[in-house]
Amino acid sequence: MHNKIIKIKKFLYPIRDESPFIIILFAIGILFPFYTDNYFYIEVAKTAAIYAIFVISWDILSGYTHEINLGYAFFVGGAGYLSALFNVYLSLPVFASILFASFSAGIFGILIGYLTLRSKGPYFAMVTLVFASILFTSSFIFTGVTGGEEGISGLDCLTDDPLKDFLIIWLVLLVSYFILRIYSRSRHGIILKAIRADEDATKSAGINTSFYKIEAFALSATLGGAGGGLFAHAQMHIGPTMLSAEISIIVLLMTTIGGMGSIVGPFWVAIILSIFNEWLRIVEEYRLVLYTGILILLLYLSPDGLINSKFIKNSRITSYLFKGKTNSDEYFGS
Amino acid sequence: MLGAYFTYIFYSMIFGTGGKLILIISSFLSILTVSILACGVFYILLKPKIESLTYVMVISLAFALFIAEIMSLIFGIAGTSVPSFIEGNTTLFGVKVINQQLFLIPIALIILFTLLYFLKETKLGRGIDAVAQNREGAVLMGVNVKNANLIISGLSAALAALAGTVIAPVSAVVPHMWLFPLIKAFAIAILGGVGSLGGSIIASFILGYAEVFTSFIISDQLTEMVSLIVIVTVLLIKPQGILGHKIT
Amino acid sequence: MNILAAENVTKRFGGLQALSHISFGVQTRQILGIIGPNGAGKTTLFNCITGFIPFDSGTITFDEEPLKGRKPHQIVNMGLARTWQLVKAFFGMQVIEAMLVPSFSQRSMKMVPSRKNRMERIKNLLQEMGLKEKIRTEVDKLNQGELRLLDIARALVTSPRLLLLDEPFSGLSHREIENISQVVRRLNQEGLTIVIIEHRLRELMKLVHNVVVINFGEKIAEGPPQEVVQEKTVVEAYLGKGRFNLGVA
Repeated sequence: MHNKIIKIKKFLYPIRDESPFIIILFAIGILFPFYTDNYFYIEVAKTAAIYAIFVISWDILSGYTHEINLGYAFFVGGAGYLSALFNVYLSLPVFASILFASFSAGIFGILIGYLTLRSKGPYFAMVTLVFASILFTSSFIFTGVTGGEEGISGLDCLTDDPLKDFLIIWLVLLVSYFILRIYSRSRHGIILKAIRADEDATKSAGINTSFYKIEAFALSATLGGAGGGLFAHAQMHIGPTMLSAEISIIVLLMTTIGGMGSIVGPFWVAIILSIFNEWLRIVEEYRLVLYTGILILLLYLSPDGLINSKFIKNSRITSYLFKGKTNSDEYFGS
Repeated sequence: MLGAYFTYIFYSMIFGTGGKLILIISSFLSILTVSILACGVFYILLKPKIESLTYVMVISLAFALFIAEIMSLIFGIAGTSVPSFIEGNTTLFGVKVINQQLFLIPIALIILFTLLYFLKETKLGRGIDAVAQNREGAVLMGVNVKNANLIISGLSAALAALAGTVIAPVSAVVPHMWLFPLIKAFAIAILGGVGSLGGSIIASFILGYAEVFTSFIISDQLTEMVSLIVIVTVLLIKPQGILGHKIT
Repeated sequence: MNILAAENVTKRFGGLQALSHISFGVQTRQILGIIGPNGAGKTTLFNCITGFIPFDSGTITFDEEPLKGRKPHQIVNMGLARTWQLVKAFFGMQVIEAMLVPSFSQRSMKMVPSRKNRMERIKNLLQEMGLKEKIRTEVDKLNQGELRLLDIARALVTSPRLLLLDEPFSGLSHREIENISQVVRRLNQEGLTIVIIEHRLRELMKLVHNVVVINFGEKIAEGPPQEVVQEKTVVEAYLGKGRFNLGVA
């Protein structure tokens, strides 16, 4: 019996070692729809959650390897459009569409990951950007299928109720978050960090770096695609903006401000900045100026990202509250 | 973008209307202002963490967005206009060409050759080239790296402002006019290989011709696509660009 | 039996002939030294053996298995590990993480399936290298000597049968060199075959059983240390034509 308890405890380490603030936040998220009737708040929360999904999925690849994927919109928008096509033209049910779309995004992740194995630095950024641009441009060429500028409308919504919509998105976020956290603390995360530090040295340690890079790419693409699909059906519409550089840029900004390669940092930034953006509507005229100004300020104050700021690094308490346990034995690879 | 806007500010707002001379002075002042502004931005925002490619890219991007929004606030998104240096159009080989665009050719050539001369012949220029190739080595050879970076910032901003000023009369002066040229410039620099001036020249010609040929022969819609496909193909075959060096 | 054998290996970089018909063999459980002036092609040879650079012609075999066309990580998983001349460390990670990376290699996972045992092994290796206390230190904070020891420890995690050391002594003090030499001797006694590229001839000659001398991409001498240093071609390669006594016995 005692052994069984130890085994269960070990198995639950992702939750045990997680940052308490995160656990609290997820709990709040689950309870929140039951306590409010304000649909506006729900919409804001939905957007924040979707961006969080985008951001943490982007982080697992680009945050860890430091190869900036500027073509993230390819997977987000691509999956969004695919899901719309499955749903509207093939009449597949909502969740099946999203599932197939995410899966397809993952396959493309493997493909593009393979093609870009030799690209580094600005070249990698450019190539990924171009892939996304190709898709973006295509949406204006094949207007019969994609609806051109107008996009595709009339998608099935997720559920019959915005509150349930939010819950589903929040649960997907929760699952994705924990998957990514476990992944990043496992040998996969350590190897990605090693590749970032020195790929040759990692190869000389007997690691097939191509495999791990492609794997991370595929994971990033699949979860991003899931987010894209969910977003499309939550709006019941998908348009070219989901394929534009805008998404990639926002995700890049949020992740950098949060702290690349931590999952946690970008997560918080995505949620807080999304809410902040909506709150700023009270001064709509100055909203964008203030928003971008704050972005610059945050970046300048913590060039390595907020999660790595002195405030959190130097105090054991705040470090634990925001990052969770980083020293336990389970932390080191499986 | 700022180049175009500042020219407008100087020309229309400060001097009021005037002849071509005033226009040239305004342009010059605009380039100067933007250049100084860029040096300031470099010094305050970029210098602290210039080693990190990501940081520099991201904060520059954020700054660009910020300025664009400020401009939106002040001037609105509808845009303003600036008169041309050379009005009208001519007919060359049976094709009507806008004079202002023709004007670009000698300007581009002058800039190109001046830049090449600067980088290859002058002490300052060679120092900058050295820093681009190997920063530590340059420091060991006595090159003042901080100055070099500052000058590069100012110089590239000046060139951008010049481009903005000259383009202003023929395309829309709107707060977000910088996005498209930025992507183009980025694409050309990378296609040609980062740090290689020759590569950039080759790349811009390849892309330029590809675009025009496509638009002429196939269809207008596909020009974007063809450029993109050219870029992707080159970068996948030669991951360092046409004349680029391997990144260590 | 030769654990490693190279035959007629050639490599060209554009106009430069880096390696020209290099042939030599490494006997099992031997310590072989590879010496030669700067630019002779020694590190290029290592890079070809370990799969980081493709060679144009010739054969290289490890345990009679050909290495041509294999990727670096595959060669490591066959049991051939290397260290680096220019420090290549996992900056931004802790020592323990740096040591975990090679433990995730196929070879390591196969030979030591239990995670707990792998951890034990890592701790033991660090202990042997004298780095046990630094286990949680960031790699960035180690000094040159410690980084080299860590590199060797990193290479050993994969339980190699042949270890290639690329200038392990460079930049180190006499005491540190003596330290590493002792480690090398001990590893060799435990059954590891070792090939060392070095410039510090005095220290190297005390360590090796056999020496191969390379100049301008060609092998110009081979044999026990005492014989090789007295060969005219070798002396000329290092010191030019003239009369010198290297003073190494």
